[in-house]
Amino acid sequence: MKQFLLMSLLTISVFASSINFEKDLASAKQKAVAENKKLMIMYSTPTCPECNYMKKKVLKDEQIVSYINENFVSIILDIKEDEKILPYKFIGIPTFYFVNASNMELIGKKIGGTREEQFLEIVKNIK
Amino acid sequence: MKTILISLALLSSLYSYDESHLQKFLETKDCQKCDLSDADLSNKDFTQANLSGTNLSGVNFENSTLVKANLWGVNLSDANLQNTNARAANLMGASIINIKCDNTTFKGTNFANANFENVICTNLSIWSANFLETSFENVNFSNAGAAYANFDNVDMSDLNINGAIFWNAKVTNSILKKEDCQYLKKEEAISENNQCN
Repeated sequence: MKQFLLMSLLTISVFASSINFEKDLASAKQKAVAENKKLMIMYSTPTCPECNYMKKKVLKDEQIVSYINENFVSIILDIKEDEKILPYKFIGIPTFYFVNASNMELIGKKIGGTREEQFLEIVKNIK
Repeated sequence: MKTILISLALLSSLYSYDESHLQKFLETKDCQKCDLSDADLSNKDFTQANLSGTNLSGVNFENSTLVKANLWGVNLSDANLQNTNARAANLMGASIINIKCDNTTFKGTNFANANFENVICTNLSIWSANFLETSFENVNFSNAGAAYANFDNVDMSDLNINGAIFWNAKVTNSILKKEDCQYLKKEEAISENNQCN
């Protein structure tokens, strides 16, 4: 019974999990280097509908959550609040930058909202 | 010969923009009830321009920016809006007939009482756009990004929404095909008081 409860709790926690977004860029970089992961930086604003679709729907998809957490350290930057620290120029939001954390080399970019399966394909192709 | 030339000149004047209007618009970004038909306005920044009531038929806006522009009641028949960014523009009451609209951004754009006819767009962006009493005849928005868009009092029978992202879009008091009603449900759109035929 104890084992069953433990398994149930674990299952629930896996399905209810979300992407672990870091609070600031410096610590995100450090963490990515330490854990030998790539960085995923999302440019966004709270009022952008396309960004909210990505945050509330696509980035909640369990396959995406699992893949991103396993391979990336992630951070969301607000293009207004974080204007001074944005590492890359942008032409629209949401923009996702995939970065080699050790030298901040850009290794991939996705502009705009997209469905779960397409986003997963994009992140899986980031080498 | 003279007659032919005069006729040609007259004919071309019938189908092209008013030079003084174009000049005024390019200098001030403001030209209301003007005639800019067939003008080449591609690759330019017209952010917050005012073209209210203007004849924009046949205009080439390719790669231009019309962010927050006032395009109230404009005639956009046969216009080219490919790769145009018209985010948060006002297109209330506009005639949007036979336009080119691949990769066009209409995020948060207001299309209340606008009239769409023979419009087929690829990679269209209508996130959070507003369609109140908008009419659609032979219109294809398939695979468009339409999350958070609002459709109210709209007959969507002749609007193709296959594959479009309608997550959290609000569709109310509208007429839809039965399969589109099911599609909206699958997409987790907010659907209220619609007629599903």
